[in-house]
Amino acid sequence: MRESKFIDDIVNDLQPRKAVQAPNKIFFIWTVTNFLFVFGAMYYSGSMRPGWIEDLVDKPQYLLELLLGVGISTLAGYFLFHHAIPGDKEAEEKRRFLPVLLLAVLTLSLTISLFSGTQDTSGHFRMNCIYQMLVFSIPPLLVLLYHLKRSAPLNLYYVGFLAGLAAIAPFATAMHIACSLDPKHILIWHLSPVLVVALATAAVTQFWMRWWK
Amino acid sequence: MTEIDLNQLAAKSQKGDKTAYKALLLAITPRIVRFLRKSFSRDEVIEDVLQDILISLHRGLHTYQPDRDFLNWMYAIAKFRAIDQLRSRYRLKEKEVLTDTLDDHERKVTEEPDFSNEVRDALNKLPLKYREAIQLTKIDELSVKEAADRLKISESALKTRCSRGYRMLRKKLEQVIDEGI
Repeated sequence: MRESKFIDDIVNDLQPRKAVQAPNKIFFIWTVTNFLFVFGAMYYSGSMRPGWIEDLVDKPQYLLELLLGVGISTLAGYFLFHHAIPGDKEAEEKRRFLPVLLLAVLTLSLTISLFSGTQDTSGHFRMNCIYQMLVFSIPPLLVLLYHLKRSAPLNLYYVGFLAGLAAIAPFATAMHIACSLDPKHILIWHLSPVLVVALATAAVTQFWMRWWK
Repeated sequence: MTEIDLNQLAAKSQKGDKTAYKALLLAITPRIVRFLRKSFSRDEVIEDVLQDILISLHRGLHTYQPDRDFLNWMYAIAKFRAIDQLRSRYRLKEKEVLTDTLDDHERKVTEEPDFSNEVRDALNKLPLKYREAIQLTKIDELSVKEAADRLKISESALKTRCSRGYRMLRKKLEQVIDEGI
């Protein structure tokens, strides 16, 4: 009896709703737009490191690092959009591979940064690279948080971490083109902010995105 | 009702079709109850959790993708809410057990100070709609239905207001309690 009344109340509260975009579609739009934004922002905010195009050809390690950066950013976006809505079986099945993959990629990146013997460490430090990364990553982060707010993610720490990662990792990757390749500099000023932003976003998301209560 | 029927009903519900929505909710309720019986035994608890799940499904309806399986979507939310409820009930039980095992002396030492004035002050600072919801249900002790009728809103809307109101109240009180302790 009480149940039936409750259902009537919910039904009366129903309004037409626009379904959120399919995850694959929105992921594609996000990836293209975000990478255009990243390279646009980097291009207009200062000079690129001289010789980076030659490095792509001459140094396989450098190419690998860039590909890893793009890979992390893209995968974070893919999993984020799939986990922003409940009941995506396909994403659920792949999810168990994600922590392992991310850990492997991050470890590899750190190892490369710390023990690289082939990279030129002589210079072209971009001024305020960390501030640029942090400031530029705010608009994409807000877009992602808005999307999460509109969606119904269940595991908030997880999607929060991915949102932070998807927002700032492309800038860390782009700094590989724009800034110094000094391993210590990369580790401290390019990679550690990625982790900090991802973890901070995970914490913030936990408090802001509780849609179900 | 087959899964395909449920998918169609859910798609129509997203467009605002109330008849389809009611049929959908009536069709899924027994499934959710069966699902909940695996974790909860008392009928009144099941009814509470069921209502929470239905509210969550209602709020997240726009995230259902019409080309996907409705039941996967529904069970993902139902499972999540059930676990959430189990956790909060377990925490509550743990707290009760802890308090029960204290002897009188310890109880006296850990007895909480009286914050009734602070609660009243904090309540008065809440926005009107949340204050009214809490006032009617907790202080005037009206049932959810009576309070909803008085405010001329649905029961689910009232629950939402109460829930948000509690969160705001908790934030305001945390600071006071910290200072008091």
